[in-house]
Amino acid sequence: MLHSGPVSVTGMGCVCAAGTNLQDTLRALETGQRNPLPPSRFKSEHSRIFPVFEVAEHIRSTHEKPGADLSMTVHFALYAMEEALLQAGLAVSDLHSHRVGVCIGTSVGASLNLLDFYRAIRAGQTPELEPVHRYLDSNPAVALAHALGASGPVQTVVNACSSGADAIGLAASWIAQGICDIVIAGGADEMSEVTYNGFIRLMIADQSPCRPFDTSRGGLNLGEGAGIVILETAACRAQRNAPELATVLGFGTAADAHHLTAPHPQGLGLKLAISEALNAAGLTSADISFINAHGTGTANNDTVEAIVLNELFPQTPFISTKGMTGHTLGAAGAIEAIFTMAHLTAGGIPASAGFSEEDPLLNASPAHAFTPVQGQAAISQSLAFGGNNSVLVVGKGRAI
Amino acid sequence: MRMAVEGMGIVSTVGNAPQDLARAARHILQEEGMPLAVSKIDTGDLARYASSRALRRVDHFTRMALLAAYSALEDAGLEAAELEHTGIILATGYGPVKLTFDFLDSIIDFGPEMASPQAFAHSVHNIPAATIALMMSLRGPCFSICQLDTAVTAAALAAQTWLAEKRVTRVLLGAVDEYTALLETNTQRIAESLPAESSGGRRRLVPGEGAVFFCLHADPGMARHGFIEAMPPAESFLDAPVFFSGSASPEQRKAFPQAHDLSPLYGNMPIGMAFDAAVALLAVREQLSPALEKCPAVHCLSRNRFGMTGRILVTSGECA
Repeated sequence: MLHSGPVSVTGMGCVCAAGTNLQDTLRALETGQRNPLPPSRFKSEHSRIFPVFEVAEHIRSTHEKPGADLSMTVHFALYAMEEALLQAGLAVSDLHSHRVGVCIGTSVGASLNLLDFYRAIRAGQTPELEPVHRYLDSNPAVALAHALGASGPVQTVVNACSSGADAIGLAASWIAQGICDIVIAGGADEMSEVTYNGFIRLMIADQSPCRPFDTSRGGLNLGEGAGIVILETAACRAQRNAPELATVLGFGTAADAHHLTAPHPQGLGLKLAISEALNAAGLTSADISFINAHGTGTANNDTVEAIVLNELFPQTPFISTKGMTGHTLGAAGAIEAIFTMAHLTAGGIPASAGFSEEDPLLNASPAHAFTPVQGQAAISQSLAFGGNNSVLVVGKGRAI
Repeated sequence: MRMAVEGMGIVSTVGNAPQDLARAARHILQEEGMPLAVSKIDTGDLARYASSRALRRVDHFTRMALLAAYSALEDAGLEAAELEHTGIILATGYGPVKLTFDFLDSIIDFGPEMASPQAFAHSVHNIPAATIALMMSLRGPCFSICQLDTAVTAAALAAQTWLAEKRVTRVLLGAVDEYTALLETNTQRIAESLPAESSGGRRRLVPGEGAVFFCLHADPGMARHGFIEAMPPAESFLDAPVFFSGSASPEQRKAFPQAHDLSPLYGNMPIGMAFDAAVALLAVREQLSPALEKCPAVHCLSRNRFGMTGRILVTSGECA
């Protein structure tokens, strides 16, 4: 694979249960204060309560077109995009003179989870089409491009839990290949009754706050939110004299081709993705200061990640942030790539919320206290249903 | 970057062979507006490629995808075991809808505590592409793209991006959507609520279903069928015929003097552009004659409800 050089990140925005902007979220990650609660937007009919990480505030973007009725997923994405554009020093009007692409990952945000509508149909009623119209108007990448009047490529990636990482990886290629001057990339997803029931029925949801990599871990907690980055060509950034906050150095993605809902037991696809991402970045495992693991808190995921980390990065500190955000599905890869960039810049990773005791079968412990990190590069890795494995190598921003 | 088309696989209501598609396209081009004979999708040929045990839990959407993907490989003279450095990209408008509603049915019928975990897991949008990777043992990149009317252009651009950076040497690029009665009811209700001129010309068009796969290679020498390339949209195309799908009204179609509407071939379908591209590959190899005379290039356009237009240029080898 061709080594294309660093791609500049000039803006980052984040919305999740830990905070409605990146600064607040990072502060929350430092303190480790978390409070997953029963879902508030729908009434669970389960006899047991499974806590979730919902975005507490009523998020509404100012970029919603008049008369539009958009999904929560799109509102999260627009809101995070506003923060990222502001940080990049870009007004929407600035974008019209550039080739701007939009590449967003999602899972729930592209699914026809119209439970109430369908229930009414099943009951012989003719319900209003409002939820259908909302679905048709709320494809995440299309909705963002429409709000911005963007003229470049538009793509909604639906690779389950690696979608956000995949969207950033593909967007970085668009920049590297000169397809776009600027790309708005990331991931977004909302809490859904359908998904909530689905993960509970798969028996991988925890009734307690999740504990990634802990010996007592009992599954994941669902979350929601969005993470958006602004990627720019060197020429575009230089023209605007815009600071480079971080870089995307490499991206690797590989399929396990093993099982539709369980990772390869030896992490075959994950190792391929790591190798590809490091090759693309022109780095080796020794160059990686820390790793933001996928770390869902499920038995399978954490076991496989531990095997791979022990083999490829035995001395490298790692963290799971899902103890603070929950599993935000299609948004997770993007939110965690942003955390990785921010922590690399800050020179340290916080404790992994929920972790207290090492699992002797894993022989791998995430950071259990603030851990200083040195170096120029770090990894954010994402695993997904279907056996997708995606890895972003990110770097520190360079001076102009 | 032009991508060489090594092989093509079709699963459609007009038949699963390229000559079936050519016959249907000629009928539409010669007698635009005349009804076309269609039948139920038949994925029985999958038994030639996979065991019944391997297929026992595979849903209709994924069966269509698998059959089109295997057919594209066979058309290219390849077997799955020969594929190295191969990526998969699957474009869809709605994803595996039937399974999505199967899961909702199970919640409604049995309650959330007894809902079907399998229907939920398999309704996740990337499972069909993952099933192809699993059954063909492909460990390259595997992407699914979901958006109405522009998913095929987006998928083609992703394929070009991977081939250009040498992430892969070959891409299995496909597009799939499936019919459900609920989709038809909703589509009809929505279309009826719109004025005719803004319904995208699809007011009376029944939702379709089917799958198309292309086996694409970076090496121009591998082009058995011609080339496809995702391109930025343009104002006009005077040099070649246009196959226009998606939410384009008759007025918007008239802006292109050589525009053809092949939607009766595939129905109201967000990935109709993939069928247009397959027909275009037949056209540039003069297989639509006399309905469409020699044309070394065809522009495929698809417009979404917001007016965003995707474009794929299909060319013959001689149009290099």
